[in-house]
Amino acid sequence: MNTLQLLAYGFSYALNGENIVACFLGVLLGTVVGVLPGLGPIGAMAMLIPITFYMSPTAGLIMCTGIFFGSMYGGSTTSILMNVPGETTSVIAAIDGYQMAKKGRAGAALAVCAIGSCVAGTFGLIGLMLFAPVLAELALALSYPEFASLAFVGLIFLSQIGQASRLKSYLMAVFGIFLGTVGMEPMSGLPRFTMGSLELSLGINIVPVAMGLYGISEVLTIAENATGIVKPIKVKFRELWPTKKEYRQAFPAIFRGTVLGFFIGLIPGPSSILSTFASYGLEKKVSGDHAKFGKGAIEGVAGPEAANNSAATAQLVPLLALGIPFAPATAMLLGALAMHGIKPGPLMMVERPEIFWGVVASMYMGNVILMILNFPLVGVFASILRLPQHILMGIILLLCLIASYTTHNSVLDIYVLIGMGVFGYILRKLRFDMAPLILGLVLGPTLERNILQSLYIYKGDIFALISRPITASLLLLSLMGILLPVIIFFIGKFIKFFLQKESRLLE
Amino acid sequence: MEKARLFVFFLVISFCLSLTLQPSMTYAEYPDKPVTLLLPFPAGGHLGVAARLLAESAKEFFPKPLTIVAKPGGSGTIAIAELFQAKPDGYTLSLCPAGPFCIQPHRTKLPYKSPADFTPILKIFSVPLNLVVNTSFPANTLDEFIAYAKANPGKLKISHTGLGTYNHINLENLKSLAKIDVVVAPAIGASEAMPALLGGHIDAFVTSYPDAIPFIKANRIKTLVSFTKKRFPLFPDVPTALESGFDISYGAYDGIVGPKGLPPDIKTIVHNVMKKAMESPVFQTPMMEHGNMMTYAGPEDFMRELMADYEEGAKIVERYLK
Repeated sequence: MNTLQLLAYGFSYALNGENIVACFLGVLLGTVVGVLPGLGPIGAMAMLIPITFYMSPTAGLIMCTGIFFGSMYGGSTTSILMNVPGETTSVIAAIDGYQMAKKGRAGAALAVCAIGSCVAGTFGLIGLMLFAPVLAELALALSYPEFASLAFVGLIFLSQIGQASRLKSYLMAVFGIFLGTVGMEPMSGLPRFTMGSLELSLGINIVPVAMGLYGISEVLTIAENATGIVKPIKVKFRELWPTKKEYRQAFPAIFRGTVLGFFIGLIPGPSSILSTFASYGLEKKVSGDHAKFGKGAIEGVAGPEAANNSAATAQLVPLLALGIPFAPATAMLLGALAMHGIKPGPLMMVERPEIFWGVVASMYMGNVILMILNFPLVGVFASILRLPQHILMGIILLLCLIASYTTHNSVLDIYVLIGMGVFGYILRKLRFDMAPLILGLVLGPTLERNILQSLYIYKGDIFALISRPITASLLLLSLMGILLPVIIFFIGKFIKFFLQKESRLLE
Repeated sequence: MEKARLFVFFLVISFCLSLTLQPSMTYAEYPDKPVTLLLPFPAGGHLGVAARLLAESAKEFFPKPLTIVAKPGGSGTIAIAELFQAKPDGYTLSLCPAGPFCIQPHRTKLPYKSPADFTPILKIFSVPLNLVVNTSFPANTLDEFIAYAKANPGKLKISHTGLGTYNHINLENLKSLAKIDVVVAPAIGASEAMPALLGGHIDAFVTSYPDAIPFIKANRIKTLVSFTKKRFPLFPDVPTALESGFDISYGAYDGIVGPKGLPPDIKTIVHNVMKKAMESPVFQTPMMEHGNMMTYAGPEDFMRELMADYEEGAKIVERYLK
């Protein structure tokens, strides 16, 4: 059978009543979970997996994948409207999305997110459908040293995506890495920097850190500046939608984000969030106008949103083609299948084709449903901003508190949220960028784990590790990333010095 | 603005107050409300699936549902510390492996000291371990593998699923008993070691049967030896390590444990219900298919086994984890 016949076969499965309902329920719940900060796709799947027990295995998996990619749609809503990144993948959307909202372009940002997610999801699916087995085998060629060097390159280049100076950004990234070392040492599981607290041994959760740094610090800044009750920006309904110019800027960004996100999604670890940072970095490089980023550039919302959706689809590649989960969310999907007595392995696509093709077909369907579902909601969500600011800020505060508690049911996360809120306020005053801190917190543990594991495999021989071709070229690249600006700076000084000398001589 | 400040202040205060609330306790015949089953590992993992199946199976025998609450982290100690602090009223139980009781207390300071601080109720299943290699690996038995390792000292890279796991201990035992010089490369769970094995980054891997079976069936890997006392029924052709003369047979096992001081009548109710639930095909059929073994043990035997492994744990930690 060729791919189209197989897809038709998949649709014949996906289009039965149970599977359609499962798909609709999944994406609906996914959207709700995505919009609500705190409860991410993993938590939602954990809660709903018991229900899938009463469904067929295919329907169960369809519902769970629906939750998974549905949550990628809604994730940026609170980022854009309230500067509260409810999931780690929507941290980047808070940077330019919230600035757009401040200018009254919240509707445009939300609409572009919905379109970007749909386009990326659909194109990601084509990649998944056509190349899953090949891509999965390719992903196996990479191992710990490559993952470590990828994380390193990511830290070097992606920490520069903000407006702050190079040094300030690196400083923030290093602080993020430090926060990432709190908790259990990854290999031995012994606690570090936990001050005897069992809760801290879980490590510092990213969600309250992100919500504190962005959401709470924003509330504090507004409370400081407020001299009277600020009137919300009045936006006409017609003006909610993106203008032609905005569409023109957003679409290329969406396509770039889709391709980039898909390949990053094939790497094990925190690939969804990484894809958003990478896409933002790419957009900034591609765009001629660096200065508009951080001030409400629509590309900075469209690209990353598309990237995290296609990364999510790509994460299904190793799961469906090999039965190996590369990310926590796909590990939940594996659990959902295992409950039905199905242990996915390399044979699943052959032995149970209805699962693979049914899920693929239902995801095409789901993407369309999500688009239909999300577009009308843009107006509803955007009208939240019509609330008077003093009430909105109170709601944001409450939302952040509840959301941080619900991620791990831990009071510690509330303290982290408040602490990070105050810290974020100070950082704003000192004009630091907060994104590198989040990046360090995400990539630091990945970097550490993979370095440690490489060293175990190579018996502590660091040269064996860095002389692997991919690793060597990646490390060379990051070395250039660090040194080139310094060299250019000194050459510039040098030339200036000589020019001055010469001009003095001429005089 | 004064109004706005007051509003925010009110919200924060009301929120803080809500944190101090405690649900009032009423005592009636057990169980009159859902029973919490603490899970020390993620809900989507192997143990999570087992817990879910057990909860489904128990529905038939138990008037109230089992609510599964996953509290992963700290190698399982976070959930077990919570179990330690829970009221012994039968509404907080845990489905858990032996590690957090038998290994972790020797490694780090915890609120509890040993299995004696708990009420073990019943042991339910065991997860047999084995040694797998790529299908193309030039050895088909443990003896050939050892011969190959001796011919290539320091070359073979063998992974396990984490420091202090029984996979790790079996591997270290094999290394010292067979006197082979191999690189021991810890991974974090099978989902990390399996791609490394398939991609040829490591040569062999001590893993559990449930994690290996899909890949054995797909003919991507082969198993050389079972680390079990007797041959594993699902793979009767695979010899045990004992048959090659090495007494290596650690395997992880999981059971239901309650807080210390659980009243005997509640303990009996839970035991009887769970025994019926584990024997029901709703639980047993998928569990066996995945590659687990049903290894029931009653409260006394379970406690004895945990205490023995706790004593053993001290030696293991001293030898491999210091």
